[in-house]
Amino acid sequence: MDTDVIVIGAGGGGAVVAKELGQAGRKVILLEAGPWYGNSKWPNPNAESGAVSSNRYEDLSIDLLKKSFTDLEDDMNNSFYGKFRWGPANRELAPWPRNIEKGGFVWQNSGVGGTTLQYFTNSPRAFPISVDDVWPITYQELIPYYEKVESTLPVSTAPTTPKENIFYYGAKNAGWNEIEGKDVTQPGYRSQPNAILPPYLLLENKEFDPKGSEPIGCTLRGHCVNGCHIGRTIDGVAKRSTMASYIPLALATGNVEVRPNAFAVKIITEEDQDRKQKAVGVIYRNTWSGEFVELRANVIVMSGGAIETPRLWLNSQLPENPWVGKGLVNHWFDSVSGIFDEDDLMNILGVPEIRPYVGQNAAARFDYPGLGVVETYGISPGLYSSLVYGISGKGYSFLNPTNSQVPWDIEGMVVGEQLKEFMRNYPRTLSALIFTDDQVDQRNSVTLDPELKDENGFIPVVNYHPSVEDQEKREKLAWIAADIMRKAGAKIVIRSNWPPELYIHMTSTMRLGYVTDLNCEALQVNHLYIADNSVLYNGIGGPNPTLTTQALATRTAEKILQKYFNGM
Amino acid sequence: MEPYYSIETFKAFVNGVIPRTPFLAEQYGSIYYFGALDYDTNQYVMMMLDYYYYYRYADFIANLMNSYAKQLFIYDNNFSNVTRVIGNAYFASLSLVDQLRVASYLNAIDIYVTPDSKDIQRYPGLLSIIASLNRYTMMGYYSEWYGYGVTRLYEPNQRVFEFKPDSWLQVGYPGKSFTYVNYVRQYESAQELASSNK
Ligand SMILES: Cc1cc2nc3c(=O)[nH]c(=O)nc-3n(C[C@H](O)[C@H](O)[C@H](O)COP(=O)(O)OP(=O)(O)OC[C@H]3O[C@@H](n4cnc5c(N)ncnc54)[C@H](O)[C@@H]3O)c2cc1C
Repeated sequence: MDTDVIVIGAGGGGAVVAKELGQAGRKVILLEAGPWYGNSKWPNPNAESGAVSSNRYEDLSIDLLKKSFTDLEDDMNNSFYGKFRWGPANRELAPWPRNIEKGGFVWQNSGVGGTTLQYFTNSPRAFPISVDDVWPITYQELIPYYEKVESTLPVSTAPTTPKENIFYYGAKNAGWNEIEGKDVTQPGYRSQPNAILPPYLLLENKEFDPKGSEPIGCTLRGHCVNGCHIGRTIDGVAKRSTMASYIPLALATGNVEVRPNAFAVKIITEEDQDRKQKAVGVIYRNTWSGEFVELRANVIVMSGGAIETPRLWLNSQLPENPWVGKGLVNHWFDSVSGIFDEDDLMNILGVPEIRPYVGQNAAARFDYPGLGVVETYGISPGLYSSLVYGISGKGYSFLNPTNSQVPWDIEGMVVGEQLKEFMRNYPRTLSALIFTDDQVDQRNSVTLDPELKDENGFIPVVNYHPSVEDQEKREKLAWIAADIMRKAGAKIVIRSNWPPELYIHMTSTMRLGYVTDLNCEALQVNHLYIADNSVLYNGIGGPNPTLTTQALATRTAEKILQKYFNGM
Repeated sequence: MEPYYSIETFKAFVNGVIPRTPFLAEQYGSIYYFGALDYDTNQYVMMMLDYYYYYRYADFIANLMNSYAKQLFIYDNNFSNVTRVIGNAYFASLSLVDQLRVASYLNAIDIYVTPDSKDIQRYPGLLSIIASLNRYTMMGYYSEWYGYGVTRLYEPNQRVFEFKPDSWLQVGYPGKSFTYVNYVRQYESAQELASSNK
C-alpha cells in the first residue's frame, strides 16, 4: 500500500477531500493532470517537468505565482495554449481533444486548483426547493457542511462597484426585492456570496503598504478570470480557488502529497470476498515523460470533474451502470447585455462609465427558485467580446433581425462596423449571464468515442440537448434580464443567445443515488468514492455548483473515515 | 507556406468580422479607422488552427469556405455581382455580407463532404471550428496578442509583451492593473454626492 487514500483531480472537489482527510490524520496522494503554479518545485511549470511531488506548505511561492499569472488574457485563457486550458502543462503540446457537438466549447482547466483557477468564486447554496424531496438527502443535512466550507474558504459578501450598482438599480426599478440570507426561497437580487477576501484596503480606508504584513484582500482590479495573484502569500491570495484555499491547508497537515502532471488513466480493481469489485489502485501517466506509474491505496476518490470522472470509469472498464456518464446538466447559459448613455450613467451612478473591467468579475446576482439565475459579469475585452458578440446559437444578428415582440434590440453574433461601435461602448456596457434550472435527462451524456483516443484513453463525447421546459425557463430568464437592463436605463439591449454546447456548469454525470450510494461511494465498486460536480443529484436549481460540490465533498470525507478508517 | 487562397480567405474572413471603419473614424477619431487586417488578426486565427489542433486545419477550413463560395459563383445568381476571381480566392471575392453568409451556412450543416475530408469526418466535434472562427477573431483582435510585437507568432512561452494594442484604445481598456481601490473610493464619494443632490 502506497498511501491510505488516492484522490484523482485537485480541482473544486478533490482538494477539499484531500484537506479533510489529511486533517484527520490520513495519508493522501492527490493526483493532478495539469501543472502547479506557485510552487518552488516547478519554477517553470509550462516549460520544464520539475519535481514529482510536493508535500510541504513551505514549497508554495507567491513570487512564482506572480510570474506565471500575467494578467494577459491570451496568455492565460487562450483555449488552445493558455496557462488555463484543458491540456498538459507543456504548452508546446496540443490540448487534450474532446468530441463536442458543433459550436461546442467546454471551459475547464487542468492544474492544481482545477477549474477554480479561473472561476468567479460565486458560492451560493442550492435552492432548497431543488433539493428537498428531490435529492435522496435533505437540504438540512447539507447545511452544516455548507457552513464548514463557507468558513474555510471563506465566503463573504461581494463589494459594490458601478457595474453592480447599476444592476441593483435596474432590479429594484423592475420591482424585485433584495434577498436576505443564504437559503433562497423567493426571487430577488443580492450581492454575491463569494470566496474572495474582502477589499480590506477599501473597507479600512488604507493605502497599500508594500512592506506591511497585514492581508490586503481584493484590490478590485478585475482579473479574477485571468488568475488572481493578489496577496502576500499563496494562502493569502484574494481569490479563493482551491489552489489558494484548500491546497495550502492540505499541505499544512503534513499528510498530503500532491503530484501534478499525473493523469490517471485506470482505476485498478479486484474482487473482494463477496465477489464484488473493490478499488485497490490507480495507474497514472506522467504528462512530461510519458511514464506510467502504479499506486495502491485503501480508498480511491474520483474528482476529475463531470466529464473526466465518467470517462475514467468507462476507460477503466468498471461495471456497467445505466447512469454512468448520464444525466448531464449544464444550466444552458445565455448572456444579455445593455449599452448605456454617459448622461444616464452620470445621473444614476454619479460617474459616466460602468467599466466592466473594474471590480470583481461577477459580483451581483438575481435568483429565482424554479427558474434559475441571472448574474452580472465584466471581464477583459478579448474574452468579453468573444462571449458577448462572438458566440450564438442564432447565427449572425444581421441575418436575423428582431421584431417588436421581444425585449431586446439585437439577437445573435454581432460583427462588422456594429461590433466596433458596440465595443467602443465597452466601458458603458453591463452584461449578465443566465443559468437555467435545466432538468436531468438520461439522454444527455458523456460517453466514449468508439475510435478516437489520445494518450490518456478513448476521448469523451459530450452531448446535451435541453428540453422544451428548459428552454421556456431560459426564455423567461432572458426576459427578466432584459427588463432589468431596460429599467436600469440601457439604450440598446443585446441577447447573445448562446448554444447549449457552451459548457461551464457541467454536473450530474455520476449521480448520487444512481451511480453512488448516499455516502458517495460507488454502488458497484467498494472503496471507490466520487467528489466533484459529477455526483450532484441535479443542477441544484441553477445556482453556481461549486459550493455544493465542496459541501458534499466535506461530508464524503467524513463518510470515508467512518467506513474505512474507524472514524479517524 | 499556406496557399494563396488560404491566406486570402482568412484575411477576408477577419476583415468581415472586424473591418476598417472610416465612418467611425470620422465620428470618433482616426484610431477607429483600423481593423483586423491592420493588426494581423488573420495570422492569429491561422496560427490557432494550425498549431493547436492535431491536424493542420487552417488550410482545410479555407478550402471548405472557398469551395462553397465557388459553388455560389457558379450556381447562385445573387452572388453574381462579383466577376473577377484572382488565384482561386473565391471566398475573398465575395462581398462582406456574402462571406458571412457562407460562414453561417457552413456552420449550420453537420457533415462536410469534400474530397480530402476523410480524416475529419471521423471527428465531427472539430467541425465546430467555423462557428469558433468569430470568437477566435475577436480574441485575436481585442486581447493583448498584437502587443507581443515581433514575438507574436512564437511559442507561447517565448512571447514577450511589448506594447498595448490599439484595439484597447478603441474600447477604452487600460490594460492590466494592480488596483482600483482608489477609483472605487472616489466613485463612492461621487455617488454620495449624486444622491445627496437628488
Ligand atoms: C469562467 C468560469 C467561471 C466560473 N465561475 C464559477 C462560480 O463563480 N461559481 C461556481 O460555483 N462555479 C463556477 N464555475 C464552475 C467551476 O469552475 C466548477 O463548478 C468547479 O471547478 C468544478 O469542480 P470539479 O472538482 O467538479 O472539477 P474541476 O475544478 O474541473 O477539477 C477537476 C480536476 O481534475 C483534474 N483531472 C481530471 N481528470 C483527471 C485524471 N484522469 N487524472 C488526474 N487529474 C484529473 C483536472 O485537471 C482538474 O484539475 C466557473 C467556471 C468557469 C469556466
